[in-house]
Amino acid sequence: MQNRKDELGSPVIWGVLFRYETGGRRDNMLRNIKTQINILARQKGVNICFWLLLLCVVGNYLRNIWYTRSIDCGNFRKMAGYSVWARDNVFGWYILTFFAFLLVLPGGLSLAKEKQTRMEYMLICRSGGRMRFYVSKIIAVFVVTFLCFTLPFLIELVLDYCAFNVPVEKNWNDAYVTYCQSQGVKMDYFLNEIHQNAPILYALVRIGITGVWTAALAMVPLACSCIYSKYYAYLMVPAYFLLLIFQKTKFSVFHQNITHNYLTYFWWLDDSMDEKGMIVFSCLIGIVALVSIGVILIHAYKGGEET
Amino acid sequence: MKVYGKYYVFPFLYGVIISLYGSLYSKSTHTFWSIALELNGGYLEYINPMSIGALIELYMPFFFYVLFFSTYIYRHFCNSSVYVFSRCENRMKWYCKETGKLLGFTFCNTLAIYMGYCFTTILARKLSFSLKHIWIAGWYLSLFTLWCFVIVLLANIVAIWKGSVVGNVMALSLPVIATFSLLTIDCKHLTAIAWKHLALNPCAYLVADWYNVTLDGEKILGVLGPGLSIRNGYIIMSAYGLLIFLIGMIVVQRIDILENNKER
Repeated sequence: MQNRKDELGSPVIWGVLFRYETGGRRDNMLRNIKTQINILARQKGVNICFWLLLLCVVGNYLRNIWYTRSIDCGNFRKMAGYSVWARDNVFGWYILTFFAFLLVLPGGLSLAKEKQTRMEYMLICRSGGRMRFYVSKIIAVFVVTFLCFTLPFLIELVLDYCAFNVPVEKNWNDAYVTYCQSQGVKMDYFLNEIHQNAPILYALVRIGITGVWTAALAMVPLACSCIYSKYYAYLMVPAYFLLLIFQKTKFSVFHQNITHNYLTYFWWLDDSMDEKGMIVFSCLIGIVALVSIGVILIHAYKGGEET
Repeated sequence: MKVYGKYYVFPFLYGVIISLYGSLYSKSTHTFWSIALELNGGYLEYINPMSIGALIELYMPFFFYVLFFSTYIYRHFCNSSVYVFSRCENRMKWYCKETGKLLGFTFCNTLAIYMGYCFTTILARKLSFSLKHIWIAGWYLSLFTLWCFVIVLLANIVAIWKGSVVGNVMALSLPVIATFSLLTIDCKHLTAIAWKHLALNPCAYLVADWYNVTLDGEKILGVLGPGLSIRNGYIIMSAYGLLIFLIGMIVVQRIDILENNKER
């Protein structure tokens, strides 16, 4: 009875979305996704990725506590300035150095492992078809990667809120802007207005954007593991090259010059990037993700064997 | 080589991508010397967490090589345990031959990275050829080959002894730990202990700017007072390599893979 209740207890919106697929059983697709998320969440790669990021967060927090132990609280930076993703933060740098490794851990490895152990066939049978299996896999990898790359930073936000959120005077913002102008610091970085008025909202939005970007980039190793799954080390290579190209080359898209490396776009409070560049970079990541999803769906449709 | 040729596409492409920024968008010409600088630690005046991060970033193509070849001797050892060692008792001869091949592959990997960079630079007609600078290219190729060989040999030996996962983790984490340990050194005020620490750390020899190099009476490299010696760099790398090679001899002689399968 309880099981029956669970089956029907899914949100109506999902039932409506996937009704055309499942016929009689409205929540079949949702169940597939839930199963995939459960499988992924228990994988060693996901745990390693999450704990490594959490380790960076805790390390950064302790480092901030150490450096601010002797300064007056009036001289504290705004909260977002203490984040791992704050500009030139050393832990953020380390995360981005090993970004290709971290991207592969949640998504890429799971499908490769399922292919190697032939568990894929059992899951395809349970899902009700190859296409459903791969669609649910894409959604599950997206969700799990998003959570992996957002939860540690949300924890950091709470920690920073407890330690560094000092109430400031009302005219603090004006004084800060005047100071920046006198120092020649540009104040036109992405979401500058939100950061000035609501730093917590700024941090939340940036954590969300980072999560979506990484989740979209995680489609690359997933697509690679569809085609090749023999050696795990090879799955990192395309993601690494992609990030290297973003980092090391200059190129022009729709008359918009991409002159920064991708690291700049992941960092917060960076005055060298503007909104237009940010949107173009998001579009680039979107295109990469769409191509990867296309490859996965073609593979699912054709039902080809991997090498 | 025919089988392993595909593994050199990655380092070559790495060299090409790394060079795009320097060759195609920069107006200045390159020499063998500046290419070698671009591919290693380069101008590293201060040791801080950021510069250590930048240094580790340069290890990445070598780390990929280690991942690809970390089971080269190990795989052959597994096969040989069944087919070769039963007929040919001399394991040492087999081990020396495999180690020699691995050294050759490692050299090809370093060369492929360098060639990738040179390829784009030549295409962009920005390579200025000078025989004076060619020894710097030789320095880069030999020292990085030795360093990478030490790591990949360690990965293989530990893989035979404790399993491939332990081998990979150990081989990749040791250089990172060695590089992070450089953080304790103050480049500006080198004490005797700090100097010993620097001179014994193999990763310190990968930063070109820490050598004292004079060319045509002009000091072209060297931010440290005394400066590291290139000869010492070779000695240190060779010593570590020899130590791991000898340990490998003992491991190969004693381990019987049929009785100690670590991959189960």
